[in-house]
Amino acid sequence: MSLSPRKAPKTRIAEDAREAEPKKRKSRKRGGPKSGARKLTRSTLDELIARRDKSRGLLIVFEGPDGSGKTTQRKLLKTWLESRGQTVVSARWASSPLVKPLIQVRKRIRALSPVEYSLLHAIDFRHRVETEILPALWTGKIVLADRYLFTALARDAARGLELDWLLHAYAPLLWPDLVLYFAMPPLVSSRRVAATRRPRFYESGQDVTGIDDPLASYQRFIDRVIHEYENLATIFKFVTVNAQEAVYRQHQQVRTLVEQARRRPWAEYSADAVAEWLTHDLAAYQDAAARV
Amino acid sequence: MSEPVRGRLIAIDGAHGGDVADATTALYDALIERDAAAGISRWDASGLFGDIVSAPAHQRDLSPRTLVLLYAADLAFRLRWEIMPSLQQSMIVVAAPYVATAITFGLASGLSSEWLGTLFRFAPLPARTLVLREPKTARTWKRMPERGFGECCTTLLEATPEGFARKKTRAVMVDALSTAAEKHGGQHRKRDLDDIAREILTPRGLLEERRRRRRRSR
Repeated sequence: MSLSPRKAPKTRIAEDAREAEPKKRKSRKRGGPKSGARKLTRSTLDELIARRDKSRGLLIVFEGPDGSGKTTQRKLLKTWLESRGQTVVSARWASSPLVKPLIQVRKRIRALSPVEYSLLHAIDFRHRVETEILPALWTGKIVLADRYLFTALARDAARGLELDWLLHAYAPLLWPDLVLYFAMPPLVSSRRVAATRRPRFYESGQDVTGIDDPLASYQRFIDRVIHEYENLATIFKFVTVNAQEAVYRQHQQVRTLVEQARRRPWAEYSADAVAEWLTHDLAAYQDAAARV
Repeated sequence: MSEPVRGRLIAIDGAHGGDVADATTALYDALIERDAAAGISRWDASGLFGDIVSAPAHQRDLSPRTLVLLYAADLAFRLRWEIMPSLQQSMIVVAAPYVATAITFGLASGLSSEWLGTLFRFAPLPARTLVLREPKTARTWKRMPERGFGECCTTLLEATPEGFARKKTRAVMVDALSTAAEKHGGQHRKRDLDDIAREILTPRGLLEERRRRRRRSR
């Protein structure tokens, strides 16, 4: 029996979970917030989130296959925004100080199945959203994310996992205000990667292609990843940048797109993610409670 | 194509890590005594929780959702390396804890049943789920991360702004487990396990399991 969600038998676990949902208990003990902060109801939180939308920072995401120049463009944009007096925070993929070592060790020994690989990256992502991205946005900083959850969706879907299950694993979603997709054909990505380095085991998808040669495996895998990216670009309305253009021209386009970028209202798109974070982050919670 | 599964998966779930561990050993011993080929799959076989607990305290700011995701990653590891290979060899695998523990913990922490149910969709349905009877509902979780999932979460969730209401969350989880147990033939005590082992190994027990599975899959 396969462990892949796509092939797993349809279990009744979801139904069991619903049925097991406990009735709300009337607790005599009041679990009030620590440090004397006022306990916030969901409606108060929603109101705070809507109000915060005006002063919060922008979340700009850079997506695309390896070798598409995302990091170069992210750095250029960061310099430009800082020169205009903005405070900018960069968020890199799989970089949570808590989860990164766990992933690295398991990657090194090649011990991850597609489901484990996906779940570990979901943990890393959730931890970074809660500890880096949301705190920065809440305090008005611009966050430039070098890869975001769409990377996981594209790679894991290319590994054969169901998109619906993947979106669930990453829920509740914090929607970016702008997604810049650096598009390029698979062959160009393969050429650029081959020119600079030998792709690693999971990067080249050797765990699913079963091909011994990392480059040959990468060529096959990136083809699937780009196919998934293109589907996502249509579904989630990415803004496409031609990654084969000159770096300067791409940067000009990125500047224009960022200047024109509008906030995606948190109350409409990301209320669940922000509310959940607020109830678990001490500093933000106290800050929010103080404003009530 | 993957091989068909021939063994049987018995899940043991409960709120108290120590009770689950004891019950697992008791059931395993009872099965071995009757010459059954059996194996155990325990929580944190992947070492993920152990690694998180040993990280510096200031980095361990996790939410209940992240902890449930960690549980799912650990379960995926256990399924790949322990449970499925043993089932392929026609063994009886005692998985303790299994899905119900994580789902009820998530429900008690305010996560939606839909999210939890979908997340654990990758885990195959066990032939039988034994939910342990909780002798004292009002017991609290101790900060002993090596003891079990609930105890580990207690250690890791201390830093949340609302504080981690150990007693309250645990009581809600026990409630949810008892609701779940109604579907799985009620709650069980440790002393029932010898009888359960005997029943599992009889053809009647096997037929009963098949009947239950058929009813559930319908």
